[in-house]
Amino acid sequence: MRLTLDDILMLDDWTDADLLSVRSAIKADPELGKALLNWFALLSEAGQQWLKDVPAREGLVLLACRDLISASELSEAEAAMMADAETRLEQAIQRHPAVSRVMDRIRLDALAFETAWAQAASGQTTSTSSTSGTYSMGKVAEMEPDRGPLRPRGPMRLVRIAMATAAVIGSFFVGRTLMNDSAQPNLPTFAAVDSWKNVTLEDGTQIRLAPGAALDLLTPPGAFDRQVLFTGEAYFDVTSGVDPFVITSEDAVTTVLGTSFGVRTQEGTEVTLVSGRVSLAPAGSPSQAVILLPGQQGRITEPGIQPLVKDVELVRELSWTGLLIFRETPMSDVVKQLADTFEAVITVSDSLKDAPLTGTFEADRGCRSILEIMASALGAELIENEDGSFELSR
Amino acid sequence: MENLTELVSKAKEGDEAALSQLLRALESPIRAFFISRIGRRADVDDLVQNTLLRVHRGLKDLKDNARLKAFAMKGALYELQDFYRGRYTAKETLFDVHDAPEIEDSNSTAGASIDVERALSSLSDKAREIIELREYGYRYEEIAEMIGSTEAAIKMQVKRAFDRMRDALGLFLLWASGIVFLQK
Repeated sequence: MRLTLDDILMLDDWTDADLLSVRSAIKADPELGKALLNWFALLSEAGQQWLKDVPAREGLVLLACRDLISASELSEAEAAMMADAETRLEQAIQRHPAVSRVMDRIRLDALAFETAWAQAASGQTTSTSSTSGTYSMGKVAEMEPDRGPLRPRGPMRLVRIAMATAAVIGSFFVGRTLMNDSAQPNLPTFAAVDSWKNVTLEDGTQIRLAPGAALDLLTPPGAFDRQVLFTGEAYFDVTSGVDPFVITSEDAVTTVLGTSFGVRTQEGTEVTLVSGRVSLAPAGSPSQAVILLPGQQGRITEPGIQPLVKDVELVRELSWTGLLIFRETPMSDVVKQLADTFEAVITVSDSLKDAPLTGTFEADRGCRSILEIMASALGAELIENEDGSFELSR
Repeated sequence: MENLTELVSKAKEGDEAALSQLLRALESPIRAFFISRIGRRADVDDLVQNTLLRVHRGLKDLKDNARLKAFAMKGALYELQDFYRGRYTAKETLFDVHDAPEIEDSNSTAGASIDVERALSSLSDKAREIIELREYGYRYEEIAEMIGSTEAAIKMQVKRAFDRMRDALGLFLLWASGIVFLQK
């Protein structure tokens, strides 16, 4: 069947077979050829204007990944290219908004690389090799083609956190089956038995372990990969660094840069992002990754299915962390959350109602202590009345 | 297995076995990366080999041996960009050099350029963005992901862009029975 104009416009691959079919259609209908030539001229003009205005692709890569690729590792040519790209970027985006899309895509590409690297480091992979053998980053391993992600085998899942000491990379893995082969004796273990416990890793990353959670260092300092085990629920405050953390679970892969977020692994994997940027993908399906923005929650309940993403109220969704988390939250909403949490009566003056507040507070500090901190930060006065109610004014 | 930092160190000192071991170790994540981005296709082999070649050639310039991952990632991202750049060049060979029809509504190259510029400027911002991403080398499905739309909606925009171009060039397109008539 001869290709129509619509067919040709929608061609995605332009394979050799496609090319032959289009040539055949043009030969049979010269007017179709003229229409296509006009169309291609239009596309070419768009491409030419892009080339004139937008920095080179390599420059976009370097700019998009500046947090991942150390400036000291750039060649002179790359450094010059990056400087040129930086100078021209703002104007390029003004003229071609698609540049921002490309930059975002490149960042996603980088996150996909991090994910592939972390999976290889853990012996997990979904790829097959075309050469003489298949290899993992840590050990030689047989790899199966596309067998799909592991399914949870028990009610309690475990998160194994892999961190590279030299490059300060972290990879987290959920799954009892994964951790059994990896635990090593004589390495530090952190556990929150019946109360919250704060753990600080070498790179400054802070992890707030929920009661019942445990964190085990798996590899000794100085090893290429530093790994820890995590079980339960936790709130992560990852220090911004050159390399991202890659969190892999039985049903999800979460890649993060410096950021704060909560992870729960009951009935799937749920990630609630407070700040920064997170890529969340089903295990074994990095192409299904979604980018979470602050205030969003991603949830994976089925392997291979793109995460469900929704906007959430952070204080409510992360109440299990024992933290009160506010990001640019108007004070009128802040005091409402505090009033609900502590069953207190709190009023705020009109001049403060719209004032935005950003901060993270441990709820067990108590209502008065938290209000005192807020008042100090806002330059406001806190009054505690005889009936136990509070007034914030400025 | 020795860790990668040690392998990098030895490879930079000329240890061929270490270099071979290093490149074999890198192949798996690099391959998985490209498959995740463009699917399982023949191009993946070329992209993997080209990336490993970049790593091989550039290894001597790697200042911090522990930075191998970022180094390999940079090479892989460059290769992916090259892939996108060349993705649709096949269509440029569509017309035989001696047999190409002339661009409508133009008597000279300059005239054609002006007309095409006019047609391009007549497109909506959305259509222009889609066309630029397409020319960059992304598939319609990828563009839909990038701008939070559906593939069908993207293709509809492309079709509308074609129609706008037709109108802007002052052409009347009669589309019936699979036959196109173009008139000034």
